[in-house]
Amino acid sequence: MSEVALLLQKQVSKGSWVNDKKVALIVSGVVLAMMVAFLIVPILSILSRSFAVSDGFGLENYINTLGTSRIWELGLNSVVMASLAASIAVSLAYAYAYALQRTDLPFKGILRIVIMVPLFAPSLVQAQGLIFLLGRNGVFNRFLGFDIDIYGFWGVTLANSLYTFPYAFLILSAALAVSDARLYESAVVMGAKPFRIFRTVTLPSTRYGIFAAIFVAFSLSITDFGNAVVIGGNFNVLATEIYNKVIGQGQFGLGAVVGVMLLMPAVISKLLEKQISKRQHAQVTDQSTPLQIRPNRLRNLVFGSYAWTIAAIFLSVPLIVFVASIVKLWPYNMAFSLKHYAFDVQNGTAPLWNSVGVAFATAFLGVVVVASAAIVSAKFKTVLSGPISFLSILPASIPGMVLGLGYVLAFNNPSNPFNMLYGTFPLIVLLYIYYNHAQGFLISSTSLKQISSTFDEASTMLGGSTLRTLFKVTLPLIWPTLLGVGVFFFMRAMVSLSAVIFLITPQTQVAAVSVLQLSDRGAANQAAAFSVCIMLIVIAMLLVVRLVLWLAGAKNVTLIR
Amino acid sequence: MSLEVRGVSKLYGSVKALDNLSLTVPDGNFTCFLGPSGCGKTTLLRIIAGLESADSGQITLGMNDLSQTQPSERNFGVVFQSYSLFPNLSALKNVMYGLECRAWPKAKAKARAMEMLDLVHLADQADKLPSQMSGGQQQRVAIARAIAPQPSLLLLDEPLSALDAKVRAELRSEVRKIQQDIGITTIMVTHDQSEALEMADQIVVLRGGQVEQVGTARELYHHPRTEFVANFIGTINSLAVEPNDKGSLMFGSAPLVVPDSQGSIRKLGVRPEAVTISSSPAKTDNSLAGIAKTVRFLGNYNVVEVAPDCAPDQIISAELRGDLALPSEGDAVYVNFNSEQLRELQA
Repeated sequence: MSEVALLLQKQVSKGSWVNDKKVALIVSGVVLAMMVAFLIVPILSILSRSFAVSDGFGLENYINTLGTSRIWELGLNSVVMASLAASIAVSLAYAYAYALQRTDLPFKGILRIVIMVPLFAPSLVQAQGLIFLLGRNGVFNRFLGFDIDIYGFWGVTLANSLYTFPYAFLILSAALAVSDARLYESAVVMGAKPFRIFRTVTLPSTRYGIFAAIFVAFSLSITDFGNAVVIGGNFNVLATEIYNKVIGQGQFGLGAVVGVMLLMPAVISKLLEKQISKRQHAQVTDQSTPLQIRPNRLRNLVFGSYAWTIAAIFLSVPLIVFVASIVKLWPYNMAFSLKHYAFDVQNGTAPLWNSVGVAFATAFLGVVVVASAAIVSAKFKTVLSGPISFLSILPASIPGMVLGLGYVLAFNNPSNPFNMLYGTFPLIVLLYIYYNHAQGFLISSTSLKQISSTFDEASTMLGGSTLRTLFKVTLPLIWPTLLGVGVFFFMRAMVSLSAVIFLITPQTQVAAVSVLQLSDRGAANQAAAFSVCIMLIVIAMLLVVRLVLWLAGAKNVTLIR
Repeated sequence: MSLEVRGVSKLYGSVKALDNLSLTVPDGNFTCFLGPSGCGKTTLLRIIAGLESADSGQITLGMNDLSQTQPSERNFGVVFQSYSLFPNLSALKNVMYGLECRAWPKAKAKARAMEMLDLVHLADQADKLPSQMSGGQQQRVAIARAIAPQPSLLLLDEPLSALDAKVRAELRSEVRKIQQDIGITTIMVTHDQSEALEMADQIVVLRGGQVEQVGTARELYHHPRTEFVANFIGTINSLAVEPNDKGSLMFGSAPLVVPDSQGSIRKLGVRPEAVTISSSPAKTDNSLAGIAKTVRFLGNYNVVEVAPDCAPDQIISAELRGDLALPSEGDAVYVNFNSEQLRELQA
C-alpha cells in the first residue's frame, strides 16, 4: 500500500512538467501563424496589388481594366459558359445520382467509380479527350464523316460540364442518400402519382444539395483554366485572361484585378449558401425511417440505360486519351507504339517524378496541417480556436488560380520572410495544402467530432495529459480517416493545374503543367501519354491505400471526394 | 477522506444549474445524488471531478482545497454512463491506462490490472476489445479501470442506466460490494430511486440546483421533508389541510386527528400502504367516508382510489396487499389511517 502511495506521489510530480494549457496555446499559435503566412498574406497581397499604382494606392488598375470593353466581353463569356456548364452538369448528375441512390440497379459500384475518373486526371483531360473525339482530327470528324467545330464556347462548356460532373454528383448523391420513408408513404397513401411525389417530396428535400452543387459547379467552371486554354480556340474567358496578363505580359496589377473579380462569384455563392442552409433545417430527424427501394422494371430500364450512357461518355474521355497515347501519330498513323512514353522532350519524365514527390509531401504535411487545425479547433479550447476554424474553411471559396497568383505576389516580394521559398518545391507543396485546406479540415474535424468527448474525459480523469490522450486514444481512432485525407491531398497535388500555373519555373516543373505545355505546342500524343501516367499513378495510390485500409479492417473510409 | 462541498454555484447562461449548494460526503461512504433530469446532479458530479468549474464555492477533500488541482491530477476514478472504454485498447490495456499515466512499472501495472479484472470477474476477457464485450462487461471493465490507480474518490455518473434490467440488478449489488470491500468514498449520480435506495449509505435529493433533503434511504422514505421528496421516493397521498379558528386541522369539511397539531401545517402526507379501506367506520384515528372511484389489480397488490366526501377532489389511494375483500367501483367505503402515519410536508 505504501508502495502505491509512493507511485502516486511520483505521478503528480511527473504530470506537471507538461502544462496542458501551455501546449494547447503553443500548438494553436503555430497553426494560426502558418495560416496567416500562407493564406492571409497571399490573399491580402492580391487585394493590395490590385489597388497599387505607380504613386501609392488608387483605383487606376480597376479603371484601366474595367474601362475596356474586352473585360466585359470576357466576363460575359465566363458567366454564360459557367452557368451553362453548371446547369448541364447538375441536371445530368442529379438524374445519375437518382439512378444510384433511388433505384436498385445492378453494378452500382462500377457506375459510381466510372464517373469519378475525371477526379484522377489533370483538370484539362476533358478538353484533351474532347479534341480527340470531336476536334478537327477527332474520331467523329475524321473517321465518321461529321463536320463538328468543337473549339470555342461549346468545347469549353462541354469540357467543364464533364469536369464538374463528379463534384456535383458527390453532393447530390449525399443529398439523395438521406430520405424519410414516412413522407413517401404518406404521399402514396394520399394517392400521389410518382411524378407528383418527385415534385413535392424528393425535389424539395434535395433543394439544398441542388443549390450547393450549382454553386460548386459554377465556381469550378468560371475559375477553370486548363480546359479553356486547350479547347477554347479564340474563345477567351477571365481565367485565361489572367494567365495572359500575368505570364504573357507581366501585368501583375491588371492580373490582380481580374483575380479579385474571379473571387467575387465564389464569395457571393458562399454568402448565398449560408442563407439557404439556414432555411434547411433537419429534414431528416432521428425518427426518420430509411426509404425501402421496391423493384420496378420500367424504372430500372429507363434509369439503367441513362446511367450506362453517361458512364460510357465518361469512360470514352480517358479511353480516347489512352488510345491516342499508344498510337504512332494520331490520327494519321494508328499503329501501336509506346514511343510517346519515352518522354524525350522537354524535361523528360522529371516533371512526373517531381509531381509524385510533391504529392507525397503534400499528403504527409497536409495531413499534419489539417489534423492539427482540426484538433486545436475541436479539442483544445483556447482563444485561438474560433479564428482557426474560420480560416480553415476559408480556402473553399478561393479559386486555385487566385491563390496561386497571391503566392507569386506575396513570396516574390523580398521583404517577405519566406521569400527564400519562392521558386522552390516546398512553396508548391504549401500552396497545394492551403488550397485544399477546407476539405481536408472538414473531413478531419467531422471524424474527430464523432469521437465521443467521454473518451477525453475518461483519459483526463485517469490522469492522462492532453498529448497522451491525443496519441494513445484520438489518433489511433481516426488514423483511417487521416489516411483518407492524405490520399485526397495526394490526388489533388497530382492533378491540380490552375493553382500552380504561376509558381512553375523551369526547375520546378510538375506533371499537370507539362500536359498543358505539351498540348500547347501540338504534341497531343505525348500530352496524352503524360495524362495517362498521372491517372495511373493516382489510381495505383488509391488501390494501395484501399488495400491497406482493408487489411486494417477499416472499410468505411471514403477515399474519393 | 471526506469530501466537502461548500456554497457551490454554477450558471449556464441565465439558468442556475447549481445554487449555493453545500453537502458532505463522509469518508468511506456511498452517496447517491438523486433527482430528476435537470436538477443539477450531473453538473455537481462534473464539478467535483474538475471537468467543469464552479462559478463560486469551494470543494475540499480531506484537508485539501481542490480548486487549483487539474482534473488529471485529482486522482479520482470516474465511471461514465456508457461507451467510455477506449475502443482501440483491450480490456487489460484499458485498465492499465491510468497506471501508465502514473508511470507504474509495466509488470506491476499489468499485475494490478489483472487483479482488478479478476475483482470484476473478467480476468478471462482481458485481451478482448470493448466492441467484443457486452454492455455489462464493458461497464465492469470501466469500474476496474476507475479503481485500479487507487483513487481517493470514486465518481459514478449513471453507470447502470444504459444497461438492461437484469444486468443492472446484478451490477447494483456487485458495485456496492466492491465499494464496501475496498472502502472507497463513492458518489453515484442516478435518477432511479430504487437504485439509490438499494445502494446508498446516504442519499442527497437534488431539486433545481439545491439540496432538497439528505438522509439514509429509511429516513427519506419515512420522514420526507417535502412533497417533492415524498413523491420522488415512492408515492404519497398529499392532503391539503387548513386550520380552522377552533385550532383543528380541516381536510375539506372534516377535521383530521394529527399527532401534535401546529397551526402552520398546510400539507399532510400519508403513504398508500398505510391506508386501509373498510365498508364501515374503522377504529383508526381517522376514518373518512367516501366513494371508491377506481379499483386496480396490480398482481401482488391492489390499488383503490377513493374520493372522500369531505374533500371529493382530493383522491386518496390505498395499496392493499393480501387476499382482501375489495370494494367495487362506486361503492360507499371508508378510508382509514392513524395519526402517526401522517407526515407534515413542506412545499
